[in-house]
Amino acid sequence: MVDLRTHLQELADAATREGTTPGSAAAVRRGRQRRRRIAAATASLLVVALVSGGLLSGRLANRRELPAVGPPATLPPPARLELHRSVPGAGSVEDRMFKDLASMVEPCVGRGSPAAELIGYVRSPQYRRLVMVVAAPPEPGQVDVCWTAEMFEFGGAGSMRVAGATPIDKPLTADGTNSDRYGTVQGQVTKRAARVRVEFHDGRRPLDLPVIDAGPRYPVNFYAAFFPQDPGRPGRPRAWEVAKLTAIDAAGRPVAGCAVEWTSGGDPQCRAG
Amino acid sequence: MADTQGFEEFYTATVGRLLGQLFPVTGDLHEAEEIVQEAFARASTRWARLRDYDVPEAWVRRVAMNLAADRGRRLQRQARALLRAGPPASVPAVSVEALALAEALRTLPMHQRQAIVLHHLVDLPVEEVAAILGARSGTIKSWLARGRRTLATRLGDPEEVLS
Repeated sequence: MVDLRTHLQELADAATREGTTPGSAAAVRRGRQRRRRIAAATASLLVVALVSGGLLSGRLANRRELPAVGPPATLPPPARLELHRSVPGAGSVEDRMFKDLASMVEPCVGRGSPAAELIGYVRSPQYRRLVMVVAAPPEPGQVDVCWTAEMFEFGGAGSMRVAGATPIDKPLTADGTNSDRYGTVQGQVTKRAARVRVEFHDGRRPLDLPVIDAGPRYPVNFYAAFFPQDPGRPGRPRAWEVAKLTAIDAAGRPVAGCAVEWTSGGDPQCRAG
Repeated sequence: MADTQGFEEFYTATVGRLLGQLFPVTGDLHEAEEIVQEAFARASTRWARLRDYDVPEAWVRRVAMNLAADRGRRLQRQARALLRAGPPASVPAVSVEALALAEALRTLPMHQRQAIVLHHLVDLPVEEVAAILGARSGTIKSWLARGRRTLATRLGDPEEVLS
């Protein structure tokens, strides 16, 4: 039997012994250069966005409007949802959920950064569960935003993982969970969107979700929802039914869209398209 | 400078260990050096906050693991052919068994390599590996099992799951 740990340790020891690194001063210099590059790139992007925004608005004034994608669809009855923007009070179950999630955001942003905040949570009385979104506002020059969204039972049970940093220029992302009766879908969405349309593999009527406005300190907004799930049958295992997401602006025009796929890691991913 | 006070000591104490942990993930010593240095560069820009962490090394390790995964994806996209015809990986002098393991590790998907190194070398529990790699604990267990099985097959010991 091969002793994995012993040989991994041998590889690590050899790399430590023979590897060369240019020292801490070089790392500090490189860090400063990186920070300057990011600041310069952000400034350039801002200029490009302002210039092209001006040009585009001039062009659009002379052009026909893009076709709208239709009026908002109503939520199907089992998915009646309630959006809350604040917890009921200190010490409440929701407050404890928020504090737990805030602790998951902290490793992403680092201590001393702006504290994690509640963006909102969506309750499903039908399923007696909620999805809570917690984020920290990015600092000036930061190109990603730290946030997390997790599902809890009303009693407080739920699992958590450390928040990841998502690039702020991603107009739409998707994550979710799957169970016998319901699924969840949540993600980050561009500020240009007023709602997110969810289309399903089984051809049921699409679900239109309101965007959860994160406020002016965030470069993106968020969305979250529950939906009914097919419990699956022998020979046809249960599948997450979300097939496609479209971010739609206030005028009904699509501003971002993606097909949703499961990765080998078991989490859904939004593939731009 | 106040912002980098203590950084040099931290760097000196941890850089070798992190390099050792990244090498089995990248399979190439030069690439591991580059990734670790970039992770420390990023740590230096937020050292004023990181130095208050209980284990700032964990932050650097996590960034380095993410960089390794990003780099792996970019290489896959940009240079599949170049990878096949490219220069041999830079590997330090080790025993025949360890060298075979390094080669077998390179055949695993990046997420399986990362899980194996974090769990079996860094000695982190599955839950912590899950938090670092952004996956569920069950998924990590599955990656570990599949990775060990593939390694066992590659190392000519298909009947055994590696210990």
